[in-house]
Amino acid sequence: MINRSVLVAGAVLVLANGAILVNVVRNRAGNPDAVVRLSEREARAFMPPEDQMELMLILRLEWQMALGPNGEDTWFDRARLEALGFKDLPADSDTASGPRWLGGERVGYAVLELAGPAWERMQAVRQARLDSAKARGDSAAPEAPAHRRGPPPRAPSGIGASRLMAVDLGPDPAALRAQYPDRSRYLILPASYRADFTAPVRDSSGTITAPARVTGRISQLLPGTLAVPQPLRDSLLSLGAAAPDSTTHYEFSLKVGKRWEGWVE
Amino acid sequence: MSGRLSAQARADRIDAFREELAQLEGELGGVLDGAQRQRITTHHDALLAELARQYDVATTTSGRQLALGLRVASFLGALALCIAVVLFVNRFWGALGTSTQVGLLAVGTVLALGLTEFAARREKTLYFAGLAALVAFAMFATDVVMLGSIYNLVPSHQAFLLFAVFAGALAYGYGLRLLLLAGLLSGALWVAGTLVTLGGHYWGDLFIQREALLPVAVAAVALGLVPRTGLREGFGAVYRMFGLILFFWVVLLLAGFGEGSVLPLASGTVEAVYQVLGFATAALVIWVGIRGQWNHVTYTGVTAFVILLFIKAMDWWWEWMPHWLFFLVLGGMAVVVMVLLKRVQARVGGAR
Repeated sequence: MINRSVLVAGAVLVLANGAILVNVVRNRAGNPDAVVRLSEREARAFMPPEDQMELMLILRLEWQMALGPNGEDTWFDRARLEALGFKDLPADSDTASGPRWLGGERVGYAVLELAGPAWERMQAVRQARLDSAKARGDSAAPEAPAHRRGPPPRAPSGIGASRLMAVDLGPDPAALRAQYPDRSRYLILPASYRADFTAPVRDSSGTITAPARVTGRISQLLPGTLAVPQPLRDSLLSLGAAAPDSTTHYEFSLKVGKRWEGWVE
Repeated sequence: MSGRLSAQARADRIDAFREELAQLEGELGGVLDGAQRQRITTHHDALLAELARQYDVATTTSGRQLALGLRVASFLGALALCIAVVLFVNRFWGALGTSTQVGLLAVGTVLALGLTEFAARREKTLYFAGLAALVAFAMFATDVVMLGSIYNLVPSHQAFLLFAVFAGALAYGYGLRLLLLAGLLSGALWVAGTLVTLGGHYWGDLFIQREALLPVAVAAVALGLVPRTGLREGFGAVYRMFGLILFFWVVLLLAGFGEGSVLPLASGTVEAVYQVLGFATAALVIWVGIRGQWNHVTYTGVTAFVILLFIKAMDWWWEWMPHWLFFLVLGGMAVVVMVLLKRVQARVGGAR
């Protein structure tokens, strides 16, 4: 007679695979929540040439934090953090503290806007700063205030940079979708976020030149990567899209299903 | 005889008895008459033959050495095969279609499970069954992780529950301690992830909010200390050691770096709290180990105690003391600990 433990382990295997596949089917059934056309700017493929025969091709989503409504570095400020339930945040007048732990990562849903107003505003601000730097005769162009995720860019910020901008975040994806109804422009994806405390900046005399700040930060999209199925994988690789110095332009559809999980088509 | 480990222990005692008797007779002359000697020898021979037949125990010194070699080879072989599985999947996965990927992962796990059962039926020592079970576990874990990757699923700590149940079933079914360890580790990560999630945080924070691992550590030690019927042979020690190592790992880290604690205290205060907790627990563990005659428990307590002493010494003296003097003091502290332990040993009847 077969050892019962093998049967239990086998049942766990069937249960795990079954549950995952059922969830995948449920996610992909019916009309997707969003269908967005992304390019190599938003989802970079990278794979060393020697591995291209065998490995799974994974695209890493690249995105930037949108600026605040009045041109601030970020829209994710103290008020948004407090609205999301962060309590006892240190005051901006706190001059004694250094950067410190503010209570860990939380999970919510990020709204990512593709090539929309947030992107245009960032381009305008960048151009204005560039023009200003040129007028002053600075040789080095200022970098964009928003940060990038994922591997280092293959082109300077602004040229070929991702047009996918994180514009909002909340705990309820359905409420966010109601707020951002354009399903071909706005992606809603799970993300982890946290509060950051930036200590005040002082000059050599000890005078505070920039006050302490509490801001929110979207740490990562969950999972933030997309597996490329066959035969799309082979097509992208044959175009040389995964080479380190690739200039190949490609586009693909990212669909997001009922469970807010994406897939490539 | 309750199990293979007890059978091996009995065989070892018989061997030791024979060696001591030979030594004794060399020093004192004959101590047993011919009939007594014959009776004991016949009984022991029959017993060893029965133990070898029933449990496949090693009855000679060379046999014991070979058994140890087999255990090491089995572990290393399992490790190598697990790595091979993961590297194989990484290496050749891209060229396969999605359904082939999913099918291969599941079928591979089923084959490894079948191999475990097949090996267990043919070999009482379970070296090959243990190896196959570990490979089955690695295949299953790879299966779940790769499915998540293929379908771009949100990473979830619930995977650790699946790993724990899978490993636990094989561990209890065949009496495999390495699988029990894998199951306990997975279970600890699942419980910690659940606690962190209930606290409103991302489960990945369990590696920062390490206190979430403490409940499982304490539970594992408690399960290992309480004598229970039906517990597989040798599992009590695995529970105790896993729980103690996990507990002291968390406590030592927080005693050194209080950042990330869930306690609503400044990091310096957190460190002080965990230093006190660590010292008190280490002393308690040493006492329990001596009382229960569990050497591994005592050694773990002593190790934790000494590391905590070093942490405190760093706090107090590293900044201002010349480094040669600092290490001299550390050496002196180690000597004091040794003297204290010798006294305890003498009090409980050990060597003086």
